[in-house]
Amino acid sequence: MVFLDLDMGIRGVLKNKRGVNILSENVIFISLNIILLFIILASVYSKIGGASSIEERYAKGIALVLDSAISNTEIMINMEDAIKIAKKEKFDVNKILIISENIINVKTSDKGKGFSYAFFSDYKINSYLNEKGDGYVLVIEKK
Amino acid sequence: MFWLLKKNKRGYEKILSMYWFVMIFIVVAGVFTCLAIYYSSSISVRNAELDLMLDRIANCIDPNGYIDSEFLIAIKNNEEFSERFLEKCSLNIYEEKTLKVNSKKLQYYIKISLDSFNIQANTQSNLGMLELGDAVIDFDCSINNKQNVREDISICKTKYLYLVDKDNNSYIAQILVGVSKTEYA
Repeated sequence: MVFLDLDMGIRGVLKNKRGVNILSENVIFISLNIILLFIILASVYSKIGGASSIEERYAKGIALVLDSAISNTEIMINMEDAIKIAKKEKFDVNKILIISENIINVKTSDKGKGFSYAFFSDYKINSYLNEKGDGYVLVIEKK
Repeated sequence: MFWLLKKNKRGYEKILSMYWFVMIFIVVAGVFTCLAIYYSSSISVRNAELDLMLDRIANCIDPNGYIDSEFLIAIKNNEEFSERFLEKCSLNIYEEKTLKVNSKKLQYYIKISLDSFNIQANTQSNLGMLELGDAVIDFDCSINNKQNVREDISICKTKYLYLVDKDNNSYIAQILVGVSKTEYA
């Protein structure tokens, strides 16, 4: 409880009747709350933006794109998130997406093996980094 | 703990703030656990894959509004058509060696049953069937009870297609597709 008294002035804000310093206690209390909130946000951010979940999302998403594609088409895939992580990890951005036979591999660092997923379309697929460097171009041709 | 409550006003406030932090800690732990469970579980795209495969097969056996003649003849004559069908529909039901599977593995199952259908007489007679892929997937689907809720078991989907040939004869195709890929769950 804060007792504001004109005679007491600023002293009243800092101390209550018993002379206990209440300002510092409140500051500590609020700071701890902010720290806890920060921990929650940090954990949420790390879980959402984790490299492994991004690799999985891209691999499965691209597999669905290729499964729904028809031959003789070119598809541009925006992979900004994966490229950002790869650059941070100093990984070659040209090697993020590798398609061999009917397996897609998305890898954003040298540490792991990336995420692989199979698709059922039997097409000849050529993939390369686009000119802007923020995505990949998939060229789909009939075998 | 009761003796703590007997303390003066100041002590009582301190206890309350301690409980407040315990409460926040429990909430944070709960939120973190929920997030960890949610994000550690893999994204399932098997249902979408099956829908796409059903569409691909439907477009393949009924390309221009008429049933594909090559497919119809093969089914009627009970000819070996599996490889030609995969080639014709640009399908690859094998999964090559990957990080998860150590050898070439069949990940899909396709079963097309074709019936001739007489609209006037309302009669139906089976002409034949085309079966490709791993038949175990079909068995697994019966365990999954067609609900497609379990990620550790294969899932299946069925589509019925009404078809006509150029002589205006009617057919009904029952297309069943299944996917395994349980190692990704």
